[in-house]
Amino acid sequence: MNMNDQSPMTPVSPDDLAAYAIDAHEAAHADDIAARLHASPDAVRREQDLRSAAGEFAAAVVEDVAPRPALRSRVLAEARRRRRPVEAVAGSSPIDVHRTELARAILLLRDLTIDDWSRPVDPREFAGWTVHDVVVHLVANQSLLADQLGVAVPGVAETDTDNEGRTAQARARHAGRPPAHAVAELEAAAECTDKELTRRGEARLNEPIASWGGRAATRVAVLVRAFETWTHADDIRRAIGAEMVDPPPASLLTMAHTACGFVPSMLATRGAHHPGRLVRFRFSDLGGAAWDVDLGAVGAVRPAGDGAVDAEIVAEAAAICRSISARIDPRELRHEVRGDEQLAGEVIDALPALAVL
Amino acid sequence: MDERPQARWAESVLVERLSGGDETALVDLYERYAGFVYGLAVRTLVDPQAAEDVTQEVFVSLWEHPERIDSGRGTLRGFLGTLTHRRAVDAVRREEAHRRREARVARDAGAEPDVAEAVLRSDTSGRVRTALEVLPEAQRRALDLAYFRGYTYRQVAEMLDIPEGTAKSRLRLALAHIAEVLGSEISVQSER
Repeated sequence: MNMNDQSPMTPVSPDDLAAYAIDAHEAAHADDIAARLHASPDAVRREQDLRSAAGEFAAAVVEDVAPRPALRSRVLAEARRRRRPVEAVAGSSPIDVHRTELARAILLLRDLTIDDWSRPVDPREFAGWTVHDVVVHLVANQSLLADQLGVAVPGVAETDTDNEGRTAQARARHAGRPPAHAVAELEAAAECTDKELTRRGEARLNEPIASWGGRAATRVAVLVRAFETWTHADDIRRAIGAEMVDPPPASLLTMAHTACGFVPSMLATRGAHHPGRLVRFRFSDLGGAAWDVDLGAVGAVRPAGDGAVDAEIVAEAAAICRSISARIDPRELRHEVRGDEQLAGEVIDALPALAVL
Repeated sequence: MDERPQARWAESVLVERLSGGDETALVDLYERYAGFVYGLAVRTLVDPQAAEDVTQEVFVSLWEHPERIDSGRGTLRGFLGTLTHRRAVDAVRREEAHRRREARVARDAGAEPDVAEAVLRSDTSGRVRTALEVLPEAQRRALDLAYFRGYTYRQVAEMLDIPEGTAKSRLRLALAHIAEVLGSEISVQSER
């Protein structure tokens, strides 16, 4: 019997359903089956299951083939034409920054090859460490933040509240285990933390929690975690020969803003104190966003106004952040200075002063 | 570890960013999956130009309609596989693409092993390999022609010199077996 002769109420046979799920009918027959499927929710569900199974099968067996590089810009241009992107006019919430950076790092880790995991990383504080060790370090610090928020991460046994001590415990536990376990733990820890932060909401971001041997506002602890995760994701990219990647502008804006607030502490670490003096940071990669930093008080950062400042530093926010994490030598930081060059020089030299493991 | 395909937190965050109109999420999505989408499209279409068109359409349509992704079930890669396959088959069935593809197939005949065979030859382990190992070759061949090369079941029947009903049965048995092994749970909203 020709399928086209069947009434809309005739059930779709299992054979036709399977062929339909992989688009193996001619168009006319496919339309006929689609019409008959609508009469049976069970058949629709079954068809979706089969179609999805085929998609998962393809996902598992098809090897990646890189398209021509020009396709990327073509896709982005057409996407912009069809749906306008949201512009990052303001920084993201610390909760969103944390969620975004952790998720981006985890996706990076999922794509690593077996060989990638044993590649050495280059920052000097990680002498002898592999990519796997760095990821375990991220697990240690992420589960520590979860602990500090009162959330236990399933499977994580570490109890040390010191950064290095906890990392040593985590490395000992992960020794000899497959790297996928570290990725799964990092994702579990990130998800737990994110859920707890979302449950608490923005209003509680100013509550102090234990952090780095002292206490800090939750927002700062969360942003430090996001910042460190981005930094180590870049360490891993360098180790596998990939390009470094900047965070989305809205995340970068928030992280750079918070980092600027620590400039007085960076200077103090180098024995420099400049109470009452103002430095303006203008970020060329964030549409010229600018903040004035009061060097006399930690966290005293306000949007740049028309008032005079002692010095203005113009640079990319991503590069400033990489100097803060000691991934760019301040002497190699591309920047321009207006005003007091000596003061600006001191500030730039001090940027990596708080960088630790 | 459990190999069952399931959406994970990091992928759901990516989808959430995409929904929020964050263009960098589209860049992340493209960087991560363009190779897979293009790989599946070019395998089905054979023609690189048509495969690029399908790749573009897959990413742009997701950017336009991120609500079609249900990241609560299945993997994002699997969902992209479903979407890419449908678009690629639609393109195969269009006359011009079909003509170009057939010309290339004729030119490159025998150059590429079927997907399942390639997996079995590789050192891949896990559920997929297990699924393929126990799948009779006749079913595997039918699935490869219909799914990865975009032929209709009638064309498959003709190519394998079997009745059309047998071709459909082989496809059903192969797909049911794979669905059972992979335990796919993804929900995809219909585009049709």
